[in-house]
Amino acid sequence: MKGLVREIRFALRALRKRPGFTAVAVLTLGLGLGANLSIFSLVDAALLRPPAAVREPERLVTLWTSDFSGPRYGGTSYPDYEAIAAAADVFAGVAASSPRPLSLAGVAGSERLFGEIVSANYFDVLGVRPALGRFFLPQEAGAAGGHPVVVLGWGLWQRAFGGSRDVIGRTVRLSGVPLTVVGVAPPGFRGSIRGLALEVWVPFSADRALLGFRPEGRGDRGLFVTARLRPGVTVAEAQARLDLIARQLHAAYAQEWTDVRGRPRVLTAVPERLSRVPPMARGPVVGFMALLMAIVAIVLLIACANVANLLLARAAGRQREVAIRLALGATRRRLVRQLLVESLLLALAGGALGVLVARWTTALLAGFHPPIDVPLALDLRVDGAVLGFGLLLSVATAVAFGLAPALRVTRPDLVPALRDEGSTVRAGGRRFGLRNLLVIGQVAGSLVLLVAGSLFLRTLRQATRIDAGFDPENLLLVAFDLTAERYDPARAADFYRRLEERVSALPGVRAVTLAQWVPLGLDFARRGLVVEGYQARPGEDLEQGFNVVGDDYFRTLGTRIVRGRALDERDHAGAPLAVVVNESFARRYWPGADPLGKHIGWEGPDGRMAEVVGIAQDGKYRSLGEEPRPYFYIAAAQVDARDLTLHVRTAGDPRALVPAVRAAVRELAPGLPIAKLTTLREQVAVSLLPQRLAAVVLGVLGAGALLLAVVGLHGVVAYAVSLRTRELGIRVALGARPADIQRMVLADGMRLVAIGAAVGLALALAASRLLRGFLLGGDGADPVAFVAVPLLLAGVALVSAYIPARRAGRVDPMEALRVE
Amino acid sequence: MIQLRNVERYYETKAGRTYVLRNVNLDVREGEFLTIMGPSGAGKSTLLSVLGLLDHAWRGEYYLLGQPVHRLSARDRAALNRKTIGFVFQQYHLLDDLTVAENLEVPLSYRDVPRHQRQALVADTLDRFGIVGKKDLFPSQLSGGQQQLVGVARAVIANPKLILADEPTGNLHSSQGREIMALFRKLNEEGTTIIQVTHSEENARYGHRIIQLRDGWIVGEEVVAAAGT
Ligand SMILES: Nc1ncnc2c1ncn2[C@@H]1O[C@H](COP(=O)(O)OP(=O)(O)O)[C@@H](O)[C@H]1O
Ligand SMILES: [Mg+2]
Repeated sequence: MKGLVREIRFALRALRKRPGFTAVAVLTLGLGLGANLSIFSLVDAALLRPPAAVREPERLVTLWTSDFSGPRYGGTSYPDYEAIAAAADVFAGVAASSPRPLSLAGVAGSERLFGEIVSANYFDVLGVRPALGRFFLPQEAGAAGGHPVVVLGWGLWQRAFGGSRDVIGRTVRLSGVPLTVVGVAPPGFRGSIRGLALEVWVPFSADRALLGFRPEGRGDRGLFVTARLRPGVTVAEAQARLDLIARQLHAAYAQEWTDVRGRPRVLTAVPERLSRVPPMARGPVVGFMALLMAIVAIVLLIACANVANLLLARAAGRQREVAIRLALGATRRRLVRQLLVESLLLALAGGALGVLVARWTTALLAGFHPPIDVPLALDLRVDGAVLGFGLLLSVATAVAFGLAPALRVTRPDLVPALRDEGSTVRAGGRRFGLRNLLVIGQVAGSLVLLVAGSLFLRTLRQATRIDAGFDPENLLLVAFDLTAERYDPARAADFYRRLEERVSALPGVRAVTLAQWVPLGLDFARRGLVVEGYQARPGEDLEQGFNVVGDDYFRTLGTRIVRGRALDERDHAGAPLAVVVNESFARRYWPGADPLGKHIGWEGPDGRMAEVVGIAQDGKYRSLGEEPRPYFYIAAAQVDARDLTLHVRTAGDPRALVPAVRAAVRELAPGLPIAKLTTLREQVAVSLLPQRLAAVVLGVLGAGALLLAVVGLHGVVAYAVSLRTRELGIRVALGARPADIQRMVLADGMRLVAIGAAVGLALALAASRLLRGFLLGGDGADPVAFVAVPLLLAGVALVSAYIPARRAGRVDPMEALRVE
Repeated sequence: MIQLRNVERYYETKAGRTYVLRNVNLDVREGEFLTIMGPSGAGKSTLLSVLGLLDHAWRGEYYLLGQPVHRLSARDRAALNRKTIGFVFQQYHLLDDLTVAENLEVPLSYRDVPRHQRQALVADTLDRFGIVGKKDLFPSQLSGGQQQLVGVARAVIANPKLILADEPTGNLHSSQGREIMALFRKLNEEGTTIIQVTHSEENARYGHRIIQLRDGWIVGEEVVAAAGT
């Protein structure tokens, strides 16, 4: 122990003596560790950290009803939830919840926020205690209505009510429904959906208008179900009980409990720790996190390689010191330990810097709100878990970069360094296999990151050239939650009609229309179809995407009608049902036949049929990268469509019209909150958000990695030159010109770059295959990525190797050959 | 062939200027075999560096083959070095990672000799020095005498008019040393001018003339009576 203290003191002194080396090493490690801790904070917040303010989360399970179309994890209907909740032998309590956007009327207008409609036992099951007031009472159970109460989230309470205690008993209007505040949730409690900022909780029994589902409908499967296991009951036992319940439900309600392939639906219990991301999304989320972790691991490896390089360079200067120590009787073990203590101190200092970096990046990320209409809120912070991970990673890092150099310096066969060193002259290159490998790895790693980053950049560039089947420029989108505001169909239709009129009359407006869904928006709906003249194969999926659109939709969006006519005022409520299909639809279902005049239905086998009146050009509906797919359009006037988005085609900047549109809405419907206000261009940008993020992240990491690689290459070449001074002097004495020497040193450096680049290109090619799914129109063979990036890298590397090479060219043979 | 006039060389040190060569005047005829002697630190190696065009920081006049070296640019001096001079070192200074044959090729590679001609020259030289059997060995596999043999071979391979040898036998046994000296005499008889530094009276007698250097001054000159007895 005392020995260790002394070793730490020695190590500190050694590090202080070389402040330049120490600073570069700590900085390099700090960047590498910082990147890793940042990503780990994200993983921690999304997957690892137990929910805050919840008692004994290890006893919680989430319960899922399998989907009609097959997937195992789907929502649950209210009657089924009640059936499950009755299984009191395994569950201490079963709660249900359903998230939704709501508007809160306040002094400064309406605020849009997300809340949960929950069963009255919700907080009891989760084991949460109120920060103020109470939660829901047993008599507030059920879904019958009559209990207009609400619990506020801590953040909302602070924000909207200044944290005032007399908020209890006050009445707030939530989406038009007056509710009495009975309690405030504790700080940190975020509800049942991680990543979503949920701020109010309303019992099912508050008001039917807020329910958003029919509690008697077994087909209305929108509930998240969470249960608390009785003490001692295992998940497997709960699962066995659920299997029984599922069989009983199937026996009793065969139609609702049979899926598309004719199999009974199943119920599945998932432990809380595996359902922090809903199980249906868990695979992709975990995959994405793993990808991020792999990327930052590469960066850390590069940082390690760099510091190992620096240490090896220093080792040359320390060989004599080590030899003397060994001669004085030090054991190799002790010397290695001493050197490792130094590495450990470097790594810990780097780790401390990494924590600062992570705090900065998490603050940055937490402040980043992507322009989507769902408020994301991940509790990103550097907590104990992150610090612990940082400590572990720092120690591992110290071993990773410190052990090899330490073993190398203390290698017994190198001890003859005490001997007259003038007697051996080494030509460079061959002796530094390890260092060379490290540089090769760095070049390869940074190349992979840069190539991947530039592939995403190209995808973004390409995206602007994709014909999406509509004109994304100069189109303003305005959406409302009329259902949540309790508008009946007639009132909604009236509101939309008057709004369309008002906005059309505004100067700078070219065309106005309404539609249920925005192209490339996050919502996408499909309907099962009956198609005239088409014989479906058994089990064939006849669901296709569709939109409900107003008059003038196609002209406003800039979508061409290829044949027939667009939907317009002829398709009013009383007229025969009309439909426009796209080209892919026509090709798929009526190949070779005339689609005009054919009929399709979406109301089941006995429902009404609509006549195809026009064919629209193909477009992109869910993502810019998708293959052409069948799609159809229904007239809004002919169906019950209450939640429509106003599409305004403008002559100039659509944002300039925002105040006028707001004013129009205020006049027509005072107090009606605007749920969403954006432009189609922004909407398209949102759909490209993953690619954009990947391009930025990979670009930043790649640039950092390139920087590290360049520093590493410089170090290796400079070190080689310092070791080769004598050889270079001899060569000059034998007639070498400065240019000869420079060329030789440069060639040695660039040989490493070339090998690294070759390895990197091969890896990048493999990576581009893996990333193909994220790249639009991606055959991956991009000249910019695979030619320009390596050339750029070679250029930068050339410059970094040239500096020591130039110094080598100026070597003074008199100095170099001097014999002490 | 060589005329040095008032050549001075000094280093700036903390203590001020320390002179290593002072007022050196020296004439060397073409075909001469000159020996420089003197105690350690006298400036012998420095003088060889000046003569070998490796050092530029001196004052005075130096004519080599009629060229005023003191007026040449660094580039022209280097070119003159390549055309005229071969070096032999006390520590041999062979490149350890190159074979004997590759070591011989190094000077040629800096003299724009075409590749096939290089191979031929290397083969010739190996033959001439009787080291054909060693051509694929590395220096560490050779004895000191053999290494210096390669060192001399490397010095002459580009056919220099002047060979500068700084204590070429300093690290060798006397018998090995005699071999090397015999080799120098043979080269000298074939027309190469040689300037050597040595501490050995015996080796000094292989040359035509001996000059004594002390603290940078030439303090004595002696013509060897009957060369090579
Ligand atoms: N870079 C230098 N700075 C200062 N003094 C030097 C330097 N190089 C050589 N000297 C000095 O020059 C003198 C002559 O050196 P050198 O020519 O090597 O002597 P010799 O070869 O005769 O033993 C020595 O006293 C040496 O210390
Ligand atoms: Mg000397």
